[in-house]
Amino acid sequence: MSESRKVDRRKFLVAGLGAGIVVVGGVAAYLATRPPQVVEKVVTVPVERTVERVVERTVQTTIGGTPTVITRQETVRETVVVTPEEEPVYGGELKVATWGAINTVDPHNAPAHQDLLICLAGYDTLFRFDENFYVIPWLAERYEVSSDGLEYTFYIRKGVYWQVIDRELTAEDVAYSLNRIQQAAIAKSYFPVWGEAVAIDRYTVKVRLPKRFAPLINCLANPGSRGSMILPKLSEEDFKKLGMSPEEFEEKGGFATIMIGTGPFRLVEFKRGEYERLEKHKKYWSRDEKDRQLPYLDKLEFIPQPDSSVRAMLVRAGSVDAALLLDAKDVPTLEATKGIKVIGMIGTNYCHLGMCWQHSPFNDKRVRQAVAHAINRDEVVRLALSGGGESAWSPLPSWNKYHKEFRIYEYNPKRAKELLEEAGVKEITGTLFTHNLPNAPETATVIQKQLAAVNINLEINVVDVGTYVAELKNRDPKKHTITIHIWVDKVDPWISLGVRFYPPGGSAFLEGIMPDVETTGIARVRDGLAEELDPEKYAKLVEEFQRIWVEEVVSVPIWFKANYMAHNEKVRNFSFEPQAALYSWDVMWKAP
Amino acid sequence: MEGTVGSKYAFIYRRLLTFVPTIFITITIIFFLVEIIPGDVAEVLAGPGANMLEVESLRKMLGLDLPAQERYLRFLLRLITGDLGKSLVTPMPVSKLILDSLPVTLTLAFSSMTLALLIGLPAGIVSALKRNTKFDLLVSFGALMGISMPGFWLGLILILVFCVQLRLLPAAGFVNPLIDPVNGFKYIILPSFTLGLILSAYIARITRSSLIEVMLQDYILTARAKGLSERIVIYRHALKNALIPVVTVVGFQFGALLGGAIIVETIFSVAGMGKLLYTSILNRDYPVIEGVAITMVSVYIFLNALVDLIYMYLDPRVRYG
Amino acid sequence: MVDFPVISAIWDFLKRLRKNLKGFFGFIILIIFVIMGLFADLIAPYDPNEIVAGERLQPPSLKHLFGTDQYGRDIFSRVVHGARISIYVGLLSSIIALALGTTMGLLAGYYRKYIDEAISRVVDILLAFPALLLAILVVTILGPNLFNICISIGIVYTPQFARIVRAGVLSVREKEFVHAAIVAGDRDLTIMFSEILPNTFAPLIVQTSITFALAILTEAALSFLGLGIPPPTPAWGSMLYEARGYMEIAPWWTIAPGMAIFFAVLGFNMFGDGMRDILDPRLRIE
Repeated sequence: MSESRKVDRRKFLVAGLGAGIVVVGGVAAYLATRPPQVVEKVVTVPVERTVERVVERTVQTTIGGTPTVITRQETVRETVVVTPEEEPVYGGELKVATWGAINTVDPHNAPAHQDLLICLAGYDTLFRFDENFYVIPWLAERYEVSSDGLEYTFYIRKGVYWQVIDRELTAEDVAYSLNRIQQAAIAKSYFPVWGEAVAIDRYTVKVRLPKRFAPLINCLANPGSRGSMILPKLSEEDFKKLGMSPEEFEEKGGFATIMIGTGPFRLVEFKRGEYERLEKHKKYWSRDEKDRQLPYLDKLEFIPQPDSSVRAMLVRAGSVDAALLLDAKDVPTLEATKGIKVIGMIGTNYCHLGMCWQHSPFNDKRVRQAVAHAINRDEVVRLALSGGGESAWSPLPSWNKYHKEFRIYEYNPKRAKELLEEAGVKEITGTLFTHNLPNAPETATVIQKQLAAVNINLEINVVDVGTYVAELKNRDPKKHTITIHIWVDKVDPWISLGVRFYPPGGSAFLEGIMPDVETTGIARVRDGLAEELDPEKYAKLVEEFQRIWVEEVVSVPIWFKANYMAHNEKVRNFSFEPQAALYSWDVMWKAP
Repeated sequence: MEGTVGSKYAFIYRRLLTFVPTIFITITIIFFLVEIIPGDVAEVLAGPGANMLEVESLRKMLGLDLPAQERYLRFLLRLITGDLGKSLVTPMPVSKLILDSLPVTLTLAFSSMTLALLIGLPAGIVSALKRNTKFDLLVSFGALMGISMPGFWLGLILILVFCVQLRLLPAAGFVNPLIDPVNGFKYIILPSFTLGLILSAYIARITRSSLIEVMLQDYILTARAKGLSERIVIYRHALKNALIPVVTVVGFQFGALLGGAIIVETIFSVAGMGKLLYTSILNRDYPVIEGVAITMVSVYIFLNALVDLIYMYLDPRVRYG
Repeated sequence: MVDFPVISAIWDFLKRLRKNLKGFFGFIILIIFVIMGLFADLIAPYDPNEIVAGERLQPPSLKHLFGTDQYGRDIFSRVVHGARISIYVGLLSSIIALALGTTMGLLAGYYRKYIDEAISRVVDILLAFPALLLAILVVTILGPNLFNICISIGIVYTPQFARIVRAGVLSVREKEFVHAAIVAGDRDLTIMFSEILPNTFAPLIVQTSITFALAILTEAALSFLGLGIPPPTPAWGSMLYEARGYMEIAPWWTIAPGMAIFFAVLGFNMFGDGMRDILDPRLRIE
């Protein structure tokens, strides 16, 4: 190689490297220095109430042990955007981006929240909660309960048709479905008191209980209890209509993969992690206020997409018509996009901090109080949720009818340090333990700093969900000193809170931090919740439950996350009711 | 060429012999590895908000309350009858799950590999022939950058530019190109490009170095001395031998693509085999993990054998007698 | 001053490196990152973990060279500290892979027959699995922290080392001087270390630098999937993971650590190439 070529080569390499750096750096600099977009978002609860109508409600309940029928007139406000002249258009397909892949469509065994999403599109419950938390009739027209609270009678609506097997809903189906709960892994724990359901005639079901169980009706109205959804009792004829034998049905996965419900849509096809496709139930029983057949849409397609920013991108690009459960940080870009509407409200995701009650130093109440004082909830919401949430001062969200705020331990690091000193604790070291699902690691990052300010120095340990649940039950004060836990509030206080302290199950999270249920009064409240039939006394018990929870620092409530949904403006009647976990698929329609 | 035919069969026979013990060891190792992972399917399914009752009932329902050895033996027995079992998470047959993921995986693998070969091979060959020219330096440096690039970063930047800023291409999803070529192309082009660009860098580098080395060999000099045209020298003699290590790399990368494109599959939200394995590990869904593991190991062995057969064609000096 | 053979060897090496442009530039890049890692505390203008709520998501400016992230932390400081983590990961993973692979290769090549078969099967199985998925499996078992990640990456890249060492052993095994040593009664281990191993130095060193680069990439990939180094440690991969949801809102957060990874890996690859050219110009680039 000649000298001149050598020099050439050298020069070229230097030039190449330099040019490469300049080009890459230039592109990076351009992309990097775009002005920031405002991501702070303050949530107003709720949004978009435009339609009011007066409705008469008939509810049967007991007051002081006497069955009573109450009729009340209510002004129902609906989260609906409807221009009065618009007539809904029948037909069309709605594509929705959801947050996770479903595992099963057997509602009684559906663990995950996204399973519930699909199940609720296809199955109905006996009752429902309206937005004021009253139980309204749904598949059951009314009910009666005996004075001793041990016998319930449900009167089933006539003219409700099943999907696919094409016959009417009968009391036999309801009885079968209710009894099935006891064999169902997930649903069973919400119905700890059960006897038997029997169909007395074609449209009447009687349920006998061994002892009083006050939350029963609420459990049957709340989708979060899983057991509230009604499945059919499949007869020989039904199997013939399905075109398979009972063995084949089980082989294919049974109710876990084959949906047979009374709801507005039916799951016809799903590919795990890719899509879930539902089609309209042509004989759906519910009609709109002009007595037209529901639903309007022909098809629903759900596309699971765990990343919020990708969901936002999909709806902006028009690949999907709507996106659910978006993070606050993605909202400003969406709101700035023409043709996209964003709805936001406080949802049901709840984050709290758990400590090892049984171990020192957390068995000393002052230490727990110190931790509660050390947390600046507003900062956590601002940094970890980008403002999309509310600080929690109770284990129930602010829109919950039973919610009461208990600002007992305000942010006060000075007071926290004082308490720790009183308790004789100089420093606490250990691990801040949580899983890697959205918002948990971010919350941990902020909390770690806040705790460090009061001499609680923890290392963050983020693990995948399987490991998290496995380790929770073997609570080790060194490895899981403080845990950041997120759960989905199930709306009804019994299902959400009471069950978790009801023996023998409890909750995996609470197992390790199980407070002293006797002296703190939790046991009394819990048993009261299970037995108190009077609604006012029940509300008082729930209030006390919250107070004990916050005051005794069972766990430290941190935040409730806001649920943002976006849809393109062609979609009408899009709404979400958090207390019923219901999206309004049955009344949604698409403008052409 | 005595003994060639016989040695071919002997070769295949020997390969098959190693197949069975390899698969067996794989299955056993995986099974007990999954056992060691903290948590099982029931705990994952029940989720963080679960209570222990739910977990226990789920466990019973899924048959996980049996001791590990028993489950292992049952699993082996099922396998012998050819039944890969059902997923514990969604009770669908494992074979169906794997087959469902194949169109995505194969499309991605084939298109990425094609892209990589289309870019990498000519670049490597030309830069080897025109060694030390500007072109060569450009290609070498570009290839160096290509293998240094974190794949997922490239993917993210591509999404940022093409999907978000320019709104040209979809960011997520998959359409089977065999069914719908136009849309299929739109969905697969970015993921293939992400994988293929980096692969092409590897291919270019090894093609280049391999060809350079071959060109220095004696028999090339001999061929030139004989008066053969440069063209024949290159195509007939040099390339065939130079391609041997390239074939190794391509074969290996192709196998890796089938399961290893997990990051690209995550970023572009396509449900291929890599994603299947990844989610099943997170879910501790051991029938699926085993099923995919068996598939991957089998493909690997098959590809290895294929590569060796190609060797035999490319280099007549190789004998497997 | 006594002329130690080691020092003169190193000096000789450096001279040859300077001639090889690629390797030299790679070396410079590496030195820059090593300095960044060693003196991170001095170079970084801010505490990498300091949360400043009021300054979140700022674009690059004079105050914050690479901008800030969602917690208001300075990204430049985090990138600088990240160099330390990356070097640690690369180093530890390579050492583990080297140690494990060499042991396996030596045993397989020296003892042949059943041990060789068994080890080769295991190596095959390890190779059949895509590197990342294997790493995911090991990390899920052990738990995601810095040390375990290095172990898992080390295990993933062991096969290549095993193969190199085994090939080296096989090629040298039959040679005269080995026979002589066996006859002379030298213990197996001595033979392995004194006769066989030195022959494999060159390819091993090259493979180590490749593994170093791959280790950094694999750690980034693991962190990207959420299985990596836990917060708030400023590892480049973890930063990409955190930044992922903010790509449109704060692109600088994605670009900075990505570029850092790119240049560090580039440096290693250039250096590795240069080493290969120096140590044996006829070795293929694979």
